[in-house]
Amino acid sequence: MSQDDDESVIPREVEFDIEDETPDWSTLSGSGIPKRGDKDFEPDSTAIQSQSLQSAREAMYGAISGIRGHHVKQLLVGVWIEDGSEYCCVIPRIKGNYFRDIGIAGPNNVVYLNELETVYLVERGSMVIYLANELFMTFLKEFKKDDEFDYDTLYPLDLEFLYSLAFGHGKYGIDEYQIYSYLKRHGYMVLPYRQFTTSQVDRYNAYQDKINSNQGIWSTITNWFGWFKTEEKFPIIDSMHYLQTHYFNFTDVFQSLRLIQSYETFDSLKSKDSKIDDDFKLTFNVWKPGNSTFSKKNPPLPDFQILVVNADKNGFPKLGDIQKLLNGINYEFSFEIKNSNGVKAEKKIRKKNTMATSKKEIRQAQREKRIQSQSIDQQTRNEYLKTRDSIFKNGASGRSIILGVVSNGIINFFNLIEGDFNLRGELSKNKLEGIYKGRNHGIIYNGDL
Amino acid sequence: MGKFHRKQLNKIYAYPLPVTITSEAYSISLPEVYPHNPLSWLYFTLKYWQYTLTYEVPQLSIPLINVEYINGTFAVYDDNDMTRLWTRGFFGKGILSRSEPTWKDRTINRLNLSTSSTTSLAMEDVTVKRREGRQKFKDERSKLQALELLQRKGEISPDDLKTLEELRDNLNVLKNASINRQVDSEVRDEDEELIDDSNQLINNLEFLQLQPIEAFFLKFALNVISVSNNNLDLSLREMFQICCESYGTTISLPNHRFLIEYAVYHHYRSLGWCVRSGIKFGCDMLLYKRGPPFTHAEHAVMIIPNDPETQYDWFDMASRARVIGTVKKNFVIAFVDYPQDITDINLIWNQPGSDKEILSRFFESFKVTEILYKRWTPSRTRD
Repeated sequence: MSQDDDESVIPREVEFDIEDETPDWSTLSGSGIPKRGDKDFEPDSTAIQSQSLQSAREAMYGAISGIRGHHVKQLLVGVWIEDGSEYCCVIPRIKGNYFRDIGIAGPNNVVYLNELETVYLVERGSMVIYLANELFMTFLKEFKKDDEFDYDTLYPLDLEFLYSLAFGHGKYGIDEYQIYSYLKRHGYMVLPYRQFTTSQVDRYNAYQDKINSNQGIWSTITNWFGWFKTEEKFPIIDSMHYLQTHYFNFTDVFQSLRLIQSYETFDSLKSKDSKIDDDFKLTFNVWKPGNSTFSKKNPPLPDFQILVVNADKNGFPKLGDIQKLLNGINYEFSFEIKNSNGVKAEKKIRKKNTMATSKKEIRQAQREKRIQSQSIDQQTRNEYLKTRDSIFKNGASGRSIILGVVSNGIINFFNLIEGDFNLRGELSKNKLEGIYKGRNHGIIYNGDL
Repeated sequence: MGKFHRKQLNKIYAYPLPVTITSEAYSISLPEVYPHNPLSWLYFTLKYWQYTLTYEVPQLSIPLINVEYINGTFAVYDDNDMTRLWTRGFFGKGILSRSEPTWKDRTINRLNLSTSSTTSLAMEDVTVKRREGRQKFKDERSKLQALELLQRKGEISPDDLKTLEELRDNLNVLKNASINRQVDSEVRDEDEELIDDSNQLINNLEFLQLQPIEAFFLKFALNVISVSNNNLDLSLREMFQICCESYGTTISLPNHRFLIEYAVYHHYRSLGWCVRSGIKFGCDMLLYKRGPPFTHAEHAVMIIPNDPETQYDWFDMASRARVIGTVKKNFVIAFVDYPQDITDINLIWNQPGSDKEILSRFFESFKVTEILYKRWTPSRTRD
């Protein structure tokens, strides 16, 4: 950025996105991390800097000096079997709490894992793995609960061997594994992508058809009345237009300039034959670590839906690809959500925070206080502007996909979101009409706002 | 930003387009309509017809703004026209200024030629002043830090301790200091040539330069400018050709860069956004809610024609996103669908109707689709 711009005349009121703030670590540790401030490290020939550095180091050493290892009773053993199914590893007896989102249950409490899960558990040192032989396969066939097997008769796999087995030829490659393990280490719950809602295209169009047939006569009447309120379009023929027509506000002038078509939320769902093809298929469904409603068998809608792409093999997706991906995600339309209890329930579930109030919470409280001190008109106006800005920034539908781009082992994540700038779509209209009725919401210039 | 300042800005930039509307010209407005009250409808209709019949459409008496097309540049020379285009919609850029054409005012201030006592500071001068203030603050701070070091070492003398306290207070004052609005006058030898015998500025050396999309919008959509080349007025069709050629390639296909960019420009302008070039941020356009003096641009738009040939790579996109994210803007990818069935654009002129009609029909088949691109940091979205 040039120097000229960082000093653009007037600073706008910056709305801090709470999500963007870094966590306040000093509330977590008693030792007290030195306050942030002057960035440059300049030895000032006093011991202050080295002392605080030393104490931070000691805290770290203290934390990692505990003995790590498994108790024999906790030893988790998996066996690599390749029987041509989706799964490649079997755990006759599960131990530990890794299985909230890992593995699938078989008969007699046996658990099967896929390649990603197997390598992940072995790599983090949570599981030892052996290669199956015939003896083991027979054992597995006749396995009953509490049967024991002497694993010393099997060939133990090292990580190198396991990698070549897992990612040599199957449906997953190193790219997928890197994204999978990265997210797992951050605590996310990750399952292979699966569509557990029916096609968005079908549901959307069924709903539209239903609405259209319900309206019937009533809609013809309102349409007829609507004739009075026809939105003025670009004055096509008339090159003398602005010399002949009286305008009493600029919103009408802008309206008369409307010429270029633009995308409304859900437009891409409207053509009924838009089938999703397999060129770009989503890779993972991902849930936040704190998602308390998650269960492996009956998962709620994913928080994120991820496509893993190799940057060296594929180019940036085209619009058609992006729209196909968005149409293929697990998504619930607002007209399908029965009541507003969903929001309330979520709030209740949130655990009470026992930690000291963080900067984040203080700022949140301050904001709420500020809002309450405003007049009703001000509050409504601010709410309107905020809702509108949020649509520009996050879209109206919330339909988005995450791309995990891998280039030679380096990962970059980003979000592609269905945008909406004309705010003419049903969804954006509903959100804004609730606050200010009868406005032309998409026209950003508003003399009176 | 102070309330007073805001009010001043609202006054200067009260209108978003260089079109004078009826309510502005005659200070009249139409009455409110209440849907449930038929009387209000009647009153509205009455007033509407009264105004329409008694008043002349104001644009009729406003002369077209003169734009000269010289050496591949759309230039506006008249001072009033420049002001009109800048204050009403932020069109163009002063060639000797950062954006708003302020060279004349700055020079008058600098050479002390102004007869009125109140001179306002141009944006460029504000920047200089701010920088000076910042430098002063930094100098004082480093003095303070040196003393603080002595204090930490325990080698500070009582005198120094006193200075340290003073410096600390002083820094707090400097931090919140407002800038001095006085311009320092400064005359150079070459300035002699700018001034005539009666101590007035001879002429304005600056002109306002318009981007081709801006010029075309003002001509095609608003019809508020007349464009001339070598004293010959250009028709809409001639101007269309010139704009296309200014992008370097001859026009034949409807995915010509000028057309694609114009479609997006027109789209956002018709939604009331103030659209300016995005070259400073590596994108095609910036969208301002009202205009540069009010707020920073909130959205940065990158334009991609929606066709199989256009291919962007991840590195390109990621670097743009990174820059745009760092300046807290929203990265918008605008995909543009264009009429695929037209193989030679020069053939559209064979259609019936006026040039404007033909072009309107042509641009009607463009479609803009917005996809938002946002970086995702898994460590930040855990809860």
